[in-house]
Amino acid sequence: MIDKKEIIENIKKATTTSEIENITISVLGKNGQLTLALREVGKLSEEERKTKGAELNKIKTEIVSLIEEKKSILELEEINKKLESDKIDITLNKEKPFKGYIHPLTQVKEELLQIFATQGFRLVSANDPDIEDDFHNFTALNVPEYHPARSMQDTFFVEGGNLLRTQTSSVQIREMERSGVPVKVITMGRVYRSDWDATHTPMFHQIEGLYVDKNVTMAHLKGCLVDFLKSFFEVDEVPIQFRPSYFPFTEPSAEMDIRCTIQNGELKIGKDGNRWLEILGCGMVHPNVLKSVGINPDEYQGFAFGMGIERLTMLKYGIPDMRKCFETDTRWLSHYGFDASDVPNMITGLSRK
Amino acid sequence: MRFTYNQLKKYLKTNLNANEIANALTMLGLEIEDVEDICSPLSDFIVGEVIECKDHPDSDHLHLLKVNTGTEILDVVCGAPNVKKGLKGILARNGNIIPVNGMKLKKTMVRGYESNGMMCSAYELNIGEDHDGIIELPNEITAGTDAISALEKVYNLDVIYEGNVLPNRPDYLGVIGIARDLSAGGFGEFIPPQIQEIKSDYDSPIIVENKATEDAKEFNTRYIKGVENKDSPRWLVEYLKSSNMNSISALVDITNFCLHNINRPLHVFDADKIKGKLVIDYAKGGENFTALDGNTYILNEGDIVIKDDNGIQSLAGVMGGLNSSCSKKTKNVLLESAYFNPVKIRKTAKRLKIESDSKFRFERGIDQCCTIWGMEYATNLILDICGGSPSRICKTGKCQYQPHTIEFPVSYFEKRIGFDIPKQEMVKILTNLGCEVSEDKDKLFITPPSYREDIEGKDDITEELVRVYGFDKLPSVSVRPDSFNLVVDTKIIHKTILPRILAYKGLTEVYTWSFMSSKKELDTTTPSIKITNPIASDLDVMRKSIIPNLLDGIKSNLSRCITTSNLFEIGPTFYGAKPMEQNISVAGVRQGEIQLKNWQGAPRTADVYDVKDDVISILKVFGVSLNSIKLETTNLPNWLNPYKSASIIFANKTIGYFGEIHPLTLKKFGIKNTNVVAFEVNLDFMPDLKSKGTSKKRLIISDLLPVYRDFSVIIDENVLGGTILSEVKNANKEYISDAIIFDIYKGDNLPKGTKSVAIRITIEQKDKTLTDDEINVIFKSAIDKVVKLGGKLRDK
Repeated sequence: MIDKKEIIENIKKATTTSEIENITISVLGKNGQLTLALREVGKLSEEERKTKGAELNKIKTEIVSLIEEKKSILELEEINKKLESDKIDITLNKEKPFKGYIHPLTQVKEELLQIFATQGFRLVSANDPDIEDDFHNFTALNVPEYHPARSMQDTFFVEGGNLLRTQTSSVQIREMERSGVPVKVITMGRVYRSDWDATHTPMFHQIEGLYVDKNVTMAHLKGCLVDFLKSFFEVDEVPIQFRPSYFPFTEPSAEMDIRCTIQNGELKIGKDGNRWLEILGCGMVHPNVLKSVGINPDEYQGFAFGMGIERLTMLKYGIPDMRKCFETDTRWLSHYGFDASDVPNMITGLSRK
Repeated sequence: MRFTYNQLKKYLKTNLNANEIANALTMLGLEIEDVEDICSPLSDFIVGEVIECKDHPDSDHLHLLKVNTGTEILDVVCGAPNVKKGLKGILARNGNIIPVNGMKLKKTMVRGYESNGMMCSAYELNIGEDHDGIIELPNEITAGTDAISALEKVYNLDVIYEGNVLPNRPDYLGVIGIARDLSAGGFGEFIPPQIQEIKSDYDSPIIVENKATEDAKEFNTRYIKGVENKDSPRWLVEYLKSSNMNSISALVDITNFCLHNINRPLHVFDADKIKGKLVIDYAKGGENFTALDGNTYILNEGDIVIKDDNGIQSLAGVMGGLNSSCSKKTKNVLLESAYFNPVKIRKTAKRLKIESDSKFRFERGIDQCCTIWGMEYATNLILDICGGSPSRICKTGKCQYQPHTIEFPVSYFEKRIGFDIPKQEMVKILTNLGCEVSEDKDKLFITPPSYREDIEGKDDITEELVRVYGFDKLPSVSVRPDSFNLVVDTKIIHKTILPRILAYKGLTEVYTWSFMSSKKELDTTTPSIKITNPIASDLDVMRKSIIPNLLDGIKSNLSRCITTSNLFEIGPTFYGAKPMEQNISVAGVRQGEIQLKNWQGAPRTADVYDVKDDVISILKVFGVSLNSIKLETTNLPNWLNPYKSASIIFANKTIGYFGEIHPLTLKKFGIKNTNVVAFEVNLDFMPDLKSKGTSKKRLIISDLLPVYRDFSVIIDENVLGGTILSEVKNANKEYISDAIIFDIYKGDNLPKGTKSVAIRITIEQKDKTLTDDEINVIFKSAIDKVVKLGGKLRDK
């Protein structure tokens, strides 16, 4: 006879899923009480079979549901217990991977590329050697030998008589020799001058722009540079002034200043600034330069500009000492450097994100 | 160029104050870099009158004063010897800042007596040298008057400018030229200097022979007899001082004054020291010449010299000689006013490394037509100050200055600059600049003055016009294109992508010099690319590799107690001293713990596999897979550990290296107790990237899962993992899609010289499910390949 009461009692008393499992086997298993009892039913008369069968099946249903219910309760308990035993210290962190940084100069070079790209300038991809000959660095740029302008920049020479370019303007010559006119290019690269103090390093970077076509005027030069400054410094208005200057390869030549205040290393551009800050040199390409590469200056004309990338970088990102740009101090590099993911673009902005 | 407001005002009638003049000059093209204003610091000082002066009871030199400020009476303790009752001087009150030392005056006790001010000396106020006594002002000045208006009556209160003269504007090297340009710019009216005609009735007794008229184009002399060379008058001393020149003697000072004031270099010889004729000639080469600066120079053939029977007396245009120089004893003087070929002067001075004010002007080009005029101007001054009787001028040579006329179409300005200046305005500007201008319909014919030789053609005219008319009138026109241009071609994509890939991998970008120390070169098999004038002896060659600079970087980081460096640089490396003999390279170094001590696992030091992975990432940027390169471990350069390094071969060229830096190389760089792994890849040998277009092959995904099978073998330890894997993959190229080594073990329980290698292969099921038999056949073919290499299959 099935002791339903006892079975139910046992189910209620069970404290682990394996106990429940044992009860299930002893009751509902192959040789379980209920299974055997149901098997016995077959031997009974039809009438008895009906009533007994119905009774046993009812018991079975009840027991199965009790077992299921108890099982799920115990399972939950057991899982929770297990999870609890695997409890972690959420305040700990995974070990930080070594992080690399993009040098601020690279970041700014990419910003410059973005800006001049929207103005239709192509980046010169080769043809821009650091070691130059006298012709490309001086003579073709309208600086004949023994011209006083040569002493404006102290030049490094390499054995054999060539020199380290003192300006990226040499690329103007190479690019016009290679691809002629019209030409609208920028180039960025290393330049070298024998000068080393708090504000000068023997090597630094310049960006050079050149735009020569039939009707390019100085007003275009101004438009180009004003657009550039607005994008670069991300301001709506940039008060500027052109100041007459002298570069042998441009005429008229000018230096461009911006009106600003520098307070605690931070640059604020605006007409209420307290000073004019020199930012770049520019001018209309000298006819002699065009002639030196076989271009007729009566037919073609254009502008060129050049600026120091370190200077732009220091101004924009408040970097105090230029010399640190060329050291490998990772404390400096991780502070002023940029995340690899911080790709400058014109849509999300060109500043540190 | 250092000059003053008052110097300018001698040639310029203007209402502008000193600051306005500075701004005007900057905008005209003479950038004023510094303004030394001695007035402004005095603006809070006043005149004080000493109304009582008693001796200090405890001092033999101090006085107790009562000073009237006009509004109150102050007690002042004063030590000046010239203080007395009734004296009127400049009083500094508490709070005033003393100009000479920047000290702020405050109430003090001087030997028991309170002092509430200070009577100042000229020295303390930065307006004179006198510091022995306090300033004594004329009696008519009343107490309480502001110091500036009181001092103006007695002192030369001036504003000093430091101007940056650009090489194309030598006319700015004289005060007169600056005044002239200001006047042309509309900032005042030019007052031309007046000179008195010199009367003379005899010829210079010193005969001059000019054998170098080719370069000493004009050489004029005048003998002045009976001069008295003495100290210069006060105005001249002050003038020179404010222009940063020392007063020497009246004769020398006058030549310096003319140089600075009217931009005319001159020279004075002591005429009695000249023996025989004065000959202007070219040096033969090898002669010694002792110059005024006391140095002896060895001359080259072709230098222009001025010599007499005793030898060389002057190096033309550069510097006079010591032997014939004027002294206070000079009685008769020979004044020289000449014009020399600028290129010649520059060559000589540059070679001899002589800097002089005269050379600076000659090499830039001075007004060719002012030799005589300049001499007359100087003679007047000599006669005024030193007396004497002048001879007629002895002239040799004659400048061939030819005024030239520029044809200037009026429309040219707008064509170049982008806006228009009315023709009459053009004429006015050019005329004010000293040009002669005539008009013909839409053209101007412009003849520039002799002192503006830089104005050669149309573009110079354009520059003059826009500079004087004002750059502020320049409109701004955009250059944005209406068509799309590709700005960065795929060929140089690495310029933007590569640094970011490497930064993601934990490397930090650096920029180091393109030069380095010849002592640290790694590759000594090719000649050094030497810099002939390096900025420092340890930066004397162009780098052939970036790695030495990065090793230096590690060294300095270690000395900064930075124990881990993961650095890379993209930049030029050089293989020759001619243009274009350079490549663009990327190099990186890793040193120290790449994974720090942490609670989840053990720390790990950067090893060769880290830099190998860096190299693989770099190659991937250029679409170069690991399969298309070869690694060679023989014939490695000696700066690499031969057992932990490889050279990278691509398209039959060595494109770079990676590996561990040899311990002896590290020692050379002073790097101790740590390993360094490094890589360098020449990016110029990478294939040009081609645009891959926009659409890709359609993707077909199989529902069948790949099958993995593992096995391990015991094999000779010299059999390379790469060889095993490529053999395994070759066993069945169709189905084995990948093979990896997941364990390598060496130990005592294995035969000596062997290792155990565990390999997992991936078998791809393509269009149908493979049967167990089929899979086993593929698996066995893979095992057989390794057995062929000498491997012994280990039991499962």
